[in-house]
Amino acid sequence: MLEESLKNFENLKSLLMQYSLDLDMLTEQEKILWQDIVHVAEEERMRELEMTIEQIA
Amino acid sequence: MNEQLIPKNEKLPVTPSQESIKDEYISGGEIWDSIKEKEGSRDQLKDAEELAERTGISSEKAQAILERPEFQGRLDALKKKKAELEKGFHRNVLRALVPVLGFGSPEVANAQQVSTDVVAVEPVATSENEDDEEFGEEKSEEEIVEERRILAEKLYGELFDIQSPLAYRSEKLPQAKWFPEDVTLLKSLQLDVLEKTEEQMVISGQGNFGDGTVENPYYVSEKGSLGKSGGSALGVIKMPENIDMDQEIRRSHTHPLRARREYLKLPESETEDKLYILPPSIVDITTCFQSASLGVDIRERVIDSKGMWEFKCSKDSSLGKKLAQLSLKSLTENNTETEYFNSRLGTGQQNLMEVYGIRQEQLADDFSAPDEQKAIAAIAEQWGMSPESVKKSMEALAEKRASDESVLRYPPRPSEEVARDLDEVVNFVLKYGDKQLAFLRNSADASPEENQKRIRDIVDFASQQGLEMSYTPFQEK
Repeated sequence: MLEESLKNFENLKSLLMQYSLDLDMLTEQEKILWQDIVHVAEEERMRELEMTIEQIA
Repeated sequence: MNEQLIPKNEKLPVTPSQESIKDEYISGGEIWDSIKEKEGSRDQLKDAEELAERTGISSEKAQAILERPEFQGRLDALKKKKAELEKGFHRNVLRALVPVLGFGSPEVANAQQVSTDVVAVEPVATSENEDDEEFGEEKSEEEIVEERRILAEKLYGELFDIQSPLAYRSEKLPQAKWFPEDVTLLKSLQLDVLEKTEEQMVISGQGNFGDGTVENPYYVSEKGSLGKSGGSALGVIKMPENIDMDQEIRRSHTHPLRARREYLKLPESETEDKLYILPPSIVDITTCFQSASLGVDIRERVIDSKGMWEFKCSKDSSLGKKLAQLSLKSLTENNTETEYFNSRLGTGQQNLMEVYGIRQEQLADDFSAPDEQKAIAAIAEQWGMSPESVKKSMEALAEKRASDESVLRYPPRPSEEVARDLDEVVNFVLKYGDKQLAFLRNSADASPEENQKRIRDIVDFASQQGLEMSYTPFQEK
């Protein structure tokens, strides 16, 4: 029982380690996607500003 | 001595993963804390409002950006991935957790059945033990006795001495009343730790004949081997029938040195002449909580090569209830209830069921019998019992349950509640497991002070969860 229990314990840890790595990967993908979206939104904002300046001019 | 402790035909290569356990141990508790931190602080995708606020564009434009095909596709894919990861996490963790808690294998139902007679425990093993057949040529009983004496003298000074100074005791763990039979059986188990591959178990308790007479105040079951099924010990050892269930029951079992060596896949030289502390396993703790939740006053004892652990579980422990529930879940996931009971309560479990007299009413509930007589008939047929004895047990249980709402119900249903419970259980399992493994890795070479500190640490940690422990070391040379 002790030996089996410990082996099963290691299996559980391996699974959690994999989950932790998957979380990292997902977080990284989210970060990149968010950066891309913000980048596009900022460009849009710049265009709005340029248009406003042109209108004023 | 090597031939006694380590069979020659069991040299196994040390794999990279086992090396990492020994040398680059990754703490389960740290992995878990890191996961919780990531889940808590992950930069979740913002909605259009937040995007607008952050960049200064209008909400409408922000919404339009998020709905662009190149972003929408990635957003949907990520959302799906997140959902799958979380769903898979709970399912997979539960699947991996149940064997850690025990009871995860149907093999339990087929566990080795031992003789049910009440006998005095002999201080030495008999030649009938399967270990002897497995690991060497046949020896006479005298030879075995002599070898064990030599081995014990080499490793221990005095055999089990109850006057040993206590290493550490949780304040809430009551002192055990000692009986002469305790010393005899513990000496016997002490030797088993050194010699046997499989864990050995004995159940004992005070006698009661029901008419006020007490012929022999303390009964001890025959010793049984627990095998390596990883399952419960409950079905393996029959409780002596004269044990008084209203008093404290003691369940004593060994943690053999060889279990440690095999788990770590160590070469022979590493364990030679060394004594390790091998604390109660998660399965032992779960079993204790399950017994406690069934209303049994049980004191568990684990004998390792340096001393004896004792522990008792509170039936009111929040963690204990969750451990008991989750450990039973795997068999309910895919099986019908009838299959569940057939696999779960096989011949070995049936004995315990009769002794505990606790599950019949639950069984009746689960058959959804329209009336009591039908339920009784169904149970009697299922278990080969007389309807009278079923009825008597049901009445006893009904009385018990009327005064105790915490009696465990079978079978637990998978639910969202289970998923919520996972966090608490996994957190405990990982952190307790880390502490347990620290003993396995180097308690033989650690200083007495270091081991004392670890013992205090694990006892205090367990006590916070309603698990009261103590450790009493043997007198060593």
